[in-house]
Amino acid sequence: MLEVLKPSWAQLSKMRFSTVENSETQTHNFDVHNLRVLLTTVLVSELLAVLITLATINTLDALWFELVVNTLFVQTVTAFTYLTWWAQDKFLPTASLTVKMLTSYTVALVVTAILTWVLCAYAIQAGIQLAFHTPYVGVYVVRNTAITSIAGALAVHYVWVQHEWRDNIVRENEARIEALQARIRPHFLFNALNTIASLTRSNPEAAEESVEDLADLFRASLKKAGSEVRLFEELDTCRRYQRMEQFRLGERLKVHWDVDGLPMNAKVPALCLQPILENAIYHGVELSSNGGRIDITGRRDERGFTIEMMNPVPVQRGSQKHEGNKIALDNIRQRLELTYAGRSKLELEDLGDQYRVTLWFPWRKNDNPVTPSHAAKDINYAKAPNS
Amino acid sequence: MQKLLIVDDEQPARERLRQLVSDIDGWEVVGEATNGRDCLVQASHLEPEIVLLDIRMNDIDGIEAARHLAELDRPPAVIFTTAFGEHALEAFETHAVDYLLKPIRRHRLQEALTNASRLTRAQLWALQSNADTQQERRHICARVRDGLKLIPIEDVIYFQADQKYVTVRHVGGEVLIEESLKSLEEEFENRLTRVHRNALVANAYIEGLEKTVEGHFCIRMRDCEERLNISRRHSAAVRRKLVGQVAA
Repeated sequence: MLEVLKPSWAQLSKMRFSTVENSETQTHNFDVHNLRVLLTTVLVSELLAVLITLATINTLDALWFELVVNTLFVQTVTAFTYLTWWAQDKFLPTASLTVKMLTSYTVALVVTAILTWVLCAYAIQAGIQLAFHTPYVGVYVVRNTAITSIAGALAVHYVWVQHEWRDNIVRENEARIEALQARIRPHFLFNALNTIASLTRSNPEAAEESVEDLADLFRASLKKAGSEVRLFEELDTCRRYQRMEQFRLGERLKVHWDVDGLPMNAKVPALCLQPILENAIYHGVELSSNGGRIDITGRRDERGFTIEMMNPVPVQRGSQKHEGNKIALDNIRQRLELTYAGRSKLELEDLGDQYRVTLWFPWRKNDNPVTPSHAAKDINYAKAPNS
Repeated sequence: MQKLLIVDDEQPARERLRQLVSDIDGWEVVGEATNGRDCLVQASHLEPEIVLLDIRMNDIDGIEAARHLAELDRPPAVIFTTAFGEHALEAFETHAVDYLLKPIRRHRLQEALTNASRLTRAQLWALQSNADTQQERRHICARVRDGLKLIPIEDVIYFQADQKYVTVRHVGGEVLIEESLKSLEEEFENRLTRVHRNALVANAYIEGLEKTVEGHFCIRMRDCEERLNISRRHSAAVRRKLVGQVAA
């Protein structure tokens, strides 16, 4: 007869419903959701009633009577619980999930206790034989309430897990998008596409080259998080980026490379330099009337190597200009931290009319500061792309 | 042929617009400007019907340029162009200001040209007060005989209201504008101090107070011979500000 469990199941499905709503924010198909949740709740409650019936009957004769009694009981408790949940959703939309669950859980227990008390007292008086047989109303109450509390706890757990899971998905996606945006700024992407659209007619070869560069840049940006590349690959990415921006900004963009001394085969985190160059162009060059020159300087010594990027600071605009800046730089800093565990450094300096970003990389086991092959590579490399 | 002015600080972007316009009948590109300042000069000479105006530009950006364009005798219709996501786009949507996203599609451009209309004061104000562009203009724009004159806000010494006009006294002289002192005061509240019902003074130029023979206070300013009276109502506030400045 005790049917009690299902209230919690009701709750559970409700909650599931409500988290769905939260993540979608709009309630315009509220009714459809509502109906589905209600049907699920009723069905789960009914399964519970069947379970309790099967667990308690001693003879087949009692089956139908017990099933009806249990069904009525469980569905009643479910209905109250459901209404409690629904009312909270509707009238206290700001209530937290914990509060809603606690309230609904309590209502389920209270309704179970009262209903059991009333019905069993009546059954004992009227001499109706129930499958679970005892002369004391109190025993019925304790038993049913216990069933409700266990089933309810399961439901609460289920809703919680479901909720967390959804939350995690949302959070993970946000993080992923953020990470992607920190790498390729949409501003750059759309301007690049615009440049390509323009070049398609006037200079098809340049357009072709730009599409290839853009593809390479994207490939670099889609590398798995935490992957490493050789320093010359990262510098290549920077030069590709520069080349694309060069079409767009023309004379206004000048980049001076002085990186021949760097160990080109050293491994560095992918995209540890390109976002810095991107920032330098976006903040330092694009908004200066006469453009500006970016200086990229690389040095090495016995402890490691340093790369320094310096860009002019346009006179105007104060506040918001550093924001995008920070995201990208924080991201790089984190990745450096993961790779070098405190032995690398990223430093920002505002020198008034110039802005300087400096990266220190320590030597690692396989880097081998000076070997002839590196040196040769450096020289070849330095000649390769434009600057 | 209707006249069109293209404003963008990127050469490929201008070229692309030119290509697109050449494919559309009835329109002719009469000029290309590379920034907001250039845009104002060209617009006042060429008198285009429509200006295609990039938002993110160096020096004077698109939104400020649009505000100054509205001061012209025959203000052109303005269509903004942008590559991505300035927050201001929300304001564009809300206030039905036309804009095109780059790379621009020909039929969208055609549509925009057909429907282009002048910006209203309310639209301009909404754009200006929206994020992503600086909140205050960096220039005051005055109509002079041969077009528009831009006065960097740092050069303004004071604004003084007359019957109908406001006189802008700046380092290089004086011009008249048609804005109200009240809106100027709101826009540049951090730069200006109200010293009188009819006058706002730039904080940076205030040198000190003087007492006249009649017992009034007046204010002395750097780079400026004149003195402005301080009304009794504002004198306490002005003095407090001065003390604050000295203390700082």
